[in-house]
Amino acid sequence: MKRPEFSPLTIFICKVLLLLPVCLAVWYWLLTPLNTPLAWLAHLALTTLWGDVIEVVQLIGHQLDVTTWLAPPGQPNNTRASIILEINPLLYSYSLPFAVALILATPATWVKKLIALLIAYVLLLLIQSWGVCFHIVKTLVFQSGPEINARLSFSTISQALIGLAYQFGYLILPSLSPIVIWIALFRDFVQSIAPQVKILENKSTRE
Amino acid sequence: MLRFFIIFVIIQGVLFTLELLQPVREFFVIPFTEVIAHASAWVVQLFDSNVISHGILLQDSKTGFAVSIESGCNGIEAALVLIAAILAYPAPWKHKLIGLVAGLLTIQILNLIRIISLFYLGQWNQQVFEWAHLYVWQGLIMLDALVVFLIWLRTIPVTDGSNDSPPYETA
Repeated sequence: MKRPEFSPLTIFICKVLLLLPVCLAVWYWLLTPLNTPLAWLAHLALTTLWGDVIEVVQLIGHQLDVTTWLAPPGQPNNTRASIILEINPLLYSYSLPFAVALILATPATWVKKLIALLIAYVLLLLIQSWGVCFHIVKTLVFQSGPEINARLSFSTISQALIGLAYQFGYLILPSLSPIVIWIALFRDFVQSIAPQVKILENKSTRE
Repeated sequence: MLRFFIIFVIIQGVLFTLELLQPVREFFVIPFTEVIAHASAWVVQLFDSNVISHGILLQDSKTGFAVSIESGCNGIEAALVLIAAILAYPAPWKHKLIGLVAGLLTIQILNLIRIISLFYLGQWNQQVFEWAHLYVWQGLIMLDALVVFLIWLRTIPVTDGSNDSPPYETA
């Protein structure tokens, strides 16, 4: 009896869907070590670029705790009290298990997969930092009340750009970035699924 | 490939910025989300007559439990990614049109499944709801866009690459 033959795309999708619950479970189990570099990056970026506002960003449990130099509304700036935010970094780091599932489901050598995992992790950390940083900035600018907003004194256009950067980092980047990184790392596999891509690349080379 | 990626990023950026503009939200995004809420209620009413929709809310009229369909849950972002990918890829316009219609339909069908599943998960367990809502379904919808795009790519007629005439439009 002839066994049914499935296309490489079908096999790939099935593998991704089977691997995804495992990757999500491992990701949740390893949240602290995986998100610690994210906290470092966010701390580095915000204290470097916005050092007069952000004092420290640190991972406490599964949350990012952000301590600012800003006094709470109604209190003078030289008071000892300061605004502290709690951010959920999982909103941005869930891109990692999706990337891992895509990479592991791709037919390639284990060496190539390991290298791809490392590259994807580093790139995703940078993208996640974008999301976390703009989440913090957005919270301070738009959700800490008119007094804090006035103290931060961002122009209207700057506020609009902060809103756009936050929305892009929250709604698009976490789910799109694993896919873009996977396509970039496994172009040969994408070409084998869709030969049209190879023709496009050949054509681009000739041009 | 680089050219495709650059065009993709530009179209994606423009469409996403447009989506966030107040008039676009008022006259397209919110009415569209209301249609999705209404469609979700219509599907659920096939097996659960207690469910109603009003505005962007899907609600159980018996228990009062409701979910609000907000940005990120209406499938528009995944649709924008697919639109940008299909428009950026050099294929005949007929194929692009077919890909857009079929692709957007597929994304919205999966999105209905997402909303309905979240509606029931929320009534069952809040923690599972949060997980499915914030992490799992977000990625699954975008994976759907990827699969649709790959399937669409496979439907474009293959040429041997020696001919610069259609199906690929010249640069």
